[in-house]
Amino acid sequence: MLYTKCNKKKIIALVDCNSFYVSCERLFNPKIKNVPVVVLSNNDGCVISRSTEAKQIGIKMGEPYFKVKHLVKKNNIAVFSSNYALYGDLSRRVMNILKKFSSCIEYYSIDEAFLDLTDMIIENINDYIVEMKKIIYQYTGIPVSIGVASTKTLAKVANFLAKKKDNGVENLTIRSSNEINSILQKIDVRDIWGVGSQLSKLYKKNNINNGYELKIKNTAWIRKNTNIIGLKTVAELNGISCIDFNDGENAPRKSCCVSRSFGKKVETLQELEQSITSHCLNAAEKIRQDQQLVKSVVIFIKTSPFDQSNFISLSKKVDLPIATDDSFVLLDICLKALSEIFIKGQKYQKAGVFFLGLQNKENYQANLFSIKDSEKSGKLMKILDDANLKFGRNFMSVGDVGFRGSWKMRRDYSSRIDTSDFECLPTVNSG
Amino acid sequence: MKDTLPLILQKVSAGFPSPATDYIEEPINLNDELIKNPSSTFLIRVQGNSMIEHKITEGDVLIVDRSLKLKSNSIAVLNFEGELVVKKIIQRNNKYFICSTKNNSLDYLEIESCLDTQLWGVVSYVIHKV
Repeated sequence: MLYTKCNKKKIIALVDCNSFYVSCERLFNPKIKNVPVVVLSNNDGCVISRSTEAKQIGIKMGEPYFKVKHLVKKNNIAVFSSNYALYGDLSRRVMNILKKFSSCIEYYSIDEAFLDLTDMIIENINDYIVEMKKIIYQYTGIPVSIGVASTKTLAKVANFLAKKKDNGVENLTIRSSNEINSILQKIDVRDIWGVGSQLSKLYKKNNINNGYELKIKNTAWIRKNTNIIGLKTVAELNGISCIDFNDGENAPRKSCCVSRSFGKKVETLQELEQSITSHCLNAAEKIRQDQQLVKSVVIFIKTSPFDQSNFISLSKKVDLPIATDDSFVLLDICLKALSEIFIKGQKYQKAGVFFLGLQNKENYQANLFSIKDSEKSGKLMKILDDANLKFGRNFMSVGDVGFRGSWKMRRDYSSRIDTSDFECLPTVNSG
Repeated sequence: MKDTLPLILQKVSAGFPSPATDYIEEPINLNDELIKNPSSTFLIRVQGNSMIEHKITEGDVLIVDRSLKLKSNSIAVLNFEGELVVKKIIQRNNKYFICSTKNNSLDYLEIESCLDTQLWGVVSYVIHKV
């Protein structure tokens, strides 16, 4: 039943921005073009983006900043606080350019998108993706890698290969199955899309160590020992496209942000509460219209970046145990978070609310239902892991709790540039 | 595409009709007029007065379109020795040169010969507050 709807060979591209946040910071700061750079998560907690040079030095993804501080100092690594206003604007530009290359796009995350090229009239796929990469770089300055294959899972593999190549593109649709098999043999099963850490442990215990061994595993065993996602992964490794495409404009958004600069500077908690309340209610209304639920909430307040001596940007992320679209629950969380990060005596210039990890209400409820049916509680974690992987990979939880009370000492390395705010434009020297 | 259409505002009423009702048009949208390719266009603020002879002064906002090709007499933003700078570009014998006015003398810098100089984007408009 799983396979019947997939009869036509598809052509699917995965476009992934290279070290996206670092690339955004580099765009207006050529000084850091060839030096190691890292970008830190909210409140400068963890490393969430690394340049190639920083990776080579041994900085790991998600590592707490204090743990790598000695490496940063020793190697003169440029450090930035995350500047989501800038990254969001550049992401929007990249995604808009992709529309010229396919009418069927799934915006997978802030820096990744799947394109269905099956029905496009393309003379040569290689030339097409090389051109796509060139245009994106010329228009936005963001380098991307592009992988093409007959399924999403294989497109991920192709992208993985593309990242290691000088030209940054890989097209598996022109490779023989022998070639693809030997490629899959070199990929750890843990690195196959859709295989979480739990599942990879199970596979390795059963001697499935790489992508090829998973591809040739008999489906009866997979069906018995995993779930529908496991089955789909194996089918996709075999070139049978099974994972749905959330295409084009109809694709549900994955995050929703409402923020506004104040007409005049705001100092009191009460005024900020009013602003956060209105942003929160607006955002809640938007997501309810789209039949979505919120998994994480981020609120932020900041002072003017022109206030050189005293620029502060405060934010807090709260992960909800159960996704909700209830305005009262959401508002309660926002206001509590605000009261925790608020500092008296500052002149605030902007406040905002982000809803992250948005998910389809129907799907979410279906997932909850399937939990009841499952025998192992591990499956609950699997679903949560998958949701995290799918919706939240750029928004790692940093354990804000641990930083509470000490955030006053937190240094801020923000580039302060906002390409979508007239007051915070990048600058150029005429000298 | 605009989602609003001009309405006929004139109601049947006594008195003089407004002469303006014959000319109801969309207001000018500066974004549409000045930004042909929004995905590749950035606004960048100028620091310094070194481009004053080209009517670009401190605080001006440049509309920079990265999709445009360099032409002779273009004003362009360049990545110049690790810094973003705005310069006048001149074409000679199919090659582009940076027109710089250091030490009051005009010297040309060949862009291609200089590895740490790259085109960032071409300026299409300058917004100058008066």
